[in-house]
Amino acid sequence: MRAFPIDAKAVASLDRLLHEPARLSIVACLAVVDEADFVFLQAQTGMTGGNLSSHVKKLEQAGYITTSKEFQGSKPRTSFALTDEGREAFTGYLTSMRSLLGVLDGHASK
Amino acid sequence: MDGNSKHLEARVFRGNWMDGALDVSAGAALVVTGVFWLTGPTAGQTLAPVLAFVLYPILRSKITEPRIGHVRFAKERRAKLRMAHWIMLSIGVAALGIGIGFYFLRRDAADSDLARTLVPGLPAALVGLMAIGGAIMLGLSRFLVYAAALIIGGVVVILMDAHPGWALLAGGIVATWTGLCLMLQFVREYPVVNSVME
Repeated sequence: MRAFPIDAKAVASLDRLLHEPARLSIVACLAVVDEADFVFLQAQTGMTGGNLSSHVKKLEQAGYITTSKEFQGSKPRTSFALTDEGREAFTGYLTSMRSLLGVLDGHASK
Repeated sequence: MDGNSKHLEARVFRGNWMDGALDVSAGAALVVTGVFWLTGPTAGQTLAPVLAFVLYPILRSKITEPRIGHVRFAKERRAKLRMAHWIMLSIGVAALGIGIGFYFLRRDAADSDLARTLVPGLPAALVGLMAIGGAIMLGLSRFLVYAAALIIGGVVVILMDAHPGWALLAGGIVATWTGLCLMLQFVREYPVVNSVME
């Protein structure tokens, strides 16, 4: 009898880029709005500027978010938006995690 | 959006209004209206909406955005906000219409008429109605407190046969004070952060 009836392939197929708390919180924030700037993401996630920069760069390289730069008066503003690919990856990640947690929850309650 | 996403979006939306800028702007406009109405120069009352429209973007750009940044909400939320603006504008126009109507009623009514008795409390009650609209549409319960202050102020003005400006002044002071407290808390909680991506 298997101790945990978990599909190992499903676990292995979890999006590792999103399976990281900092990047997950960035994507979760961007998933509920159309666009947010760098300061907004810092305030929402509680990350430092340097930390946030490195994570958004990884997400941008994967094609999950787009970056746009503009000037608000004399101040530069960097804004981010989730791409269709990023939204799809986030939805897929949530579905995988829900099913995984559902199995674990069912096993724990037995 | 599923239930969790909706909950997160609602939390982000409410958080966007916790800076007190709207409260201070609207409250200051009411205070200015009340003071000018009480002291005589009625032309000064026209300053009130101008003050609110000028003060709000300044507070947002100087205090709020350097701390919590800028966000463009989803299409669905922006459509709701647009509808809220139109409803508030409609309530405002209706309030103005009712106010003018009551003014003429009062002018033509005898001293003992109900219209003449109720008119002094009407402006505050109508602004209170707008505050209730704001509370519902923005999901901010503190606007119900402002509405209560304005409506109670209106009733007190009627009972004491006092000047209508006092009720507006009272409601404005409650909103401005609350807004300033919120703003102070907001400034303490959120320091200004570097807006440039490294």
